[in-house]
Amino acid sequence: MSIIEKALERLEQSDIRTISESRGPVVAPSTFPREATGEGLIGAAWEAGESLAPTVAAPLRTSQMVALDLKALEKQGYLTPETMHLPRADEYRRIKRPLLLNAFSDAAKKVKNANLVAVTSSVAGEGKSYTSLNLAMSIATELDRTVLLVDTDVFKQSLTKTLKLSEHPGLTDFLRTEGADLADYLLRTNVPNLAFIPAGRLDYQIAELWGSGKMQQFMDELARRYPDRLVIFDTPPVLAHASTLVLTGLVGQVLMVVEAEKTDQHLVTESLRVLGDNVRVGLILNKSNQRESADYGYGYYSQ
Amino acid sequence: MREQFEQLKMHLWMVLHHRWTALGAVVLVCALGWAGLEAVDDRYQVEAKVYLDTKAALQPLFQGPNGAQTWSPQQSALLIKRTLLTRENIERVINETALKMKVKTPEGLDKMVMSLAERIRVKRLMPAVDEEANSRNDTPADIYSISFESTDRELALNVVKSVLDLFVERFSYLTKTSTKEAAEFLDREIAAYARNLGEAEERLKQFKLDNPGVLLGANGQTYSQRVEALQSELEAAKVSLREAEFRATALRVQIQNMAASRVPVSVGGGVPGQTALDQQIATAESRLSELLLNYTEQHPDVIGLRRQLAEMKEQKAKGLDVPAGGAPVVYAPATDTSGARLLLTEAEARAAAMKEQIALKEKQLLDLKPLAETVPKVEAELARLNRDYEVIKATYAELVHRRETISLSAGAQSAGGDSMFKVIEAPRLPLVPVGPQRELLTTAVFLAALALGTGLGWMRSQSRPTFYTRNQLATISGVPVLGAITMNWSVMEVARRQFGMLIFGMVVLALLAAYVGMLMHNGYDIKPLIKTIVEPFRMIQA
Repeated sequence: MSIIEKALERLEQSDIRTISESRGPVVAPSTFPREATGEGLIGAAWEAGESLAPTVAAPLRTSQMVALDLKALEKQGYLTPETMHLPRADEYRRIKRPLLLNAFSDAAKKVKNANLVAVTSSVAGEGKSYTSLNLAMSIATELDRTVLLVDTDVFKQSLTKTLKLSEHPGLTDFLRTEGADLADYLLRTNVPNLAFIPAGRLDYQIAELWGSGKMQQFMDELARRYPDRLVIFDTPPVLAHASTLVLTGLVGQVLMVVEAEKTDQHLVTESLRVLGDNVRVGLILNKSNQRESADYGYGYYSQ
Repeated sequence: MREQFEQLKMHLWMVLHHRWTALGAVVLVCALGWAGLEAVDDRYQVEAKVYLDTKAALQPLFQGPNGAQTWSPQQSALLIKRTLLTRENIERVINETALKMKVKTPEGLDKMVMSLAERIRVKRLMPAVDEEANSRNDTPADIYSISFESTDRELALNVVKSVLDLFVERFSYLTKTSTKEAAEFLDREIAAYARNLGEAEERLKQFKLDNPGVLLGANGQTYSQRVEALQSELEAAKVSLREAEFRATALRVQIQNMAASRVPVSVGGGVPGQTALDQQIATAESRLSELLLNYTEQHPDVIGLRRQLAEMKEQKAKGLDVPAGGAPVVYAPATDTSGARLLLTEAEARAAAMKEQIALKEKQLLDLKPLAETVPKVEAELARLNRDYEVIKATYAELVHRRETISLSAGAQSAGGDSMFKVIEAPRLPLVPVGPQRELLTTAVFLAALALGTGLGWMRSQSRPTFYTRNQLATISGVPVLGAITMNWSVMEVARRQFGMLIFGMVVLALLAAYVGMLMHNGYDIKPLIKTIVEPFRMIQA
């Protein structure tokens, strides 16, 4: 029985007791909130969906709500829902389209975990976290998509640090804690449709952790239970950490960020070789100095 | 076309990416190159020009066997240089100039001599541009230039002066006395050869006198030829003798026969018993004797005739004979034998003559025999004498010819006065250096530095190739590219970048200024250039 199913069971039990708080005990658990539903309902639905209480007796809990400092992010050059008019936002829209198509089209149903996307790069500093967050922001503005951003770069935790959420327990803690409740680790944000899971405590057996059954289960359920939600994993560089390869093996799509004019060509080809043929990889040329207009009409990512 | 343009743009961008490396290299190369150029001293050239009648100067020295000129116009300068710059002469030049101070060891002297032999240039000048000279296939004029290049112009002047002295000395010597000497030498030779020639002629004559007829027949036959001739003559004489003798014999028989046949006729009754058969027998016998002259007893004709004769004699013995003309048979008109007698006398005379001749030839042959040993020796001696004589004669003719040539050139010399050798342009202290080509080299250094810097930047971009365009990334990786995100420069970064660009631009400007400065420093007059640049703008304004 999966964690979520267990939670469902408990939820049903809890529903009986807290019937006044819960509106739809049957429907709610399997779906993430949609834009169409009212604000008041969302809270209940989130709550219902993620209160994976380990014990029946435990009080019902909702995921914690955090407020991101969007102004500060804007200043650092990140996209926020308020800056979607910038030309830069358009570049992410272009990338977002094939990504969503790969994740949610009919053809994507044949691909395992198509809605799980790992963002990686060959070496450090190419802009993985920047790309992850901007993509997440861009997708969060979609009317009918929700995004879960997961920081799996436990070594640098740059995403967690950028969002100033270092004090929150993260994915490693969830995986290490026996009978942990995901609701305690998932953070809802002031950006609607954007949730975040921090990296968690630094763990040197991270590859083994990613390779654990619990991780496998967690990923499968993320993919299966919430097929309309896109999950973006910010990972360490491919060539720097072997654990990355474990992660890329669990996801349906891999986005590899390549820093223009800096990353060696052979490093990129080496990374692609290391990733192997079984992984669906798309590249993003970051920090380019060339006009995008020169690239119109080139190799659209479509499958 | 678009592809190439994209490629070009990309490569340009790659070089720009390493612009600091490139600029650094350019500045470094410029600095080093220009500093090096500054360190190189000016070179000065000193030149002197002389007029020298090439033919008069070289002909007595380097003349071919037929009086032909053995050097090409182009070689003459080299020949003159070789004649002039002998080791002693170069050492003299060194001793006369400041070069003496530089020589410390014998090895140093050796090196100095070698280098001077290279550096002192003697050149035959092309005639001044005029139509006539061009049509004459550009034969160089008789003007020679002596030049020397050095960073020390005083030294250059002294070296050329010294070499010019050598020139004057050498060629005034050549022009005044060499033809005279050569002529005197030739005169002596000619006299000696004339004597030799006379002696050879005398020897030949004497030899011929000492060895008269023995040596040569009237027709210049050799000994063996003569012996052969005598022998064949002897043979011929013997044959003639035999012929004459046989002829005489035959004639005698004929005369006898004629006399016999005539008897009955002339007497009227004839000789009794003389019948036709008798006649036949006589004829056959004479024929037989004739045959026997030429043939042996075994010849079929001889055998046949003998048998016939025997038969006829048998018939006669049997009395079958019929009187020679029962009626008028034998009555032949009397034959005159005087003609035959005359012939006989002739034949006998001839035989006698032949006998005499044979005796003479045999005696001559006998006389020649003892000479068989000595004659070949004599003949060989004669051949040698002849050869010697011919050689001496040819040499003599050659010498006489040369002497005439020298007389001619000497005549030309005296006729032209001092025009055979003349210093046209004395060496002067140069004011303007001939090298190095500073303006050109300044530009060359600058261009080389630019090329090197660009090359270095490009090489750096190639040594660690990165991705510049999305297309390039897709092509090289073979993986779909979802998109490209332009660099999101922060305000600080933009400021830093702009500052960097500013500095870069300033360094480039400074470099250009330095280049122009160096050009002007090295004597380039920039005013005309500025004028040509500014002029069009003025025109527009006006």
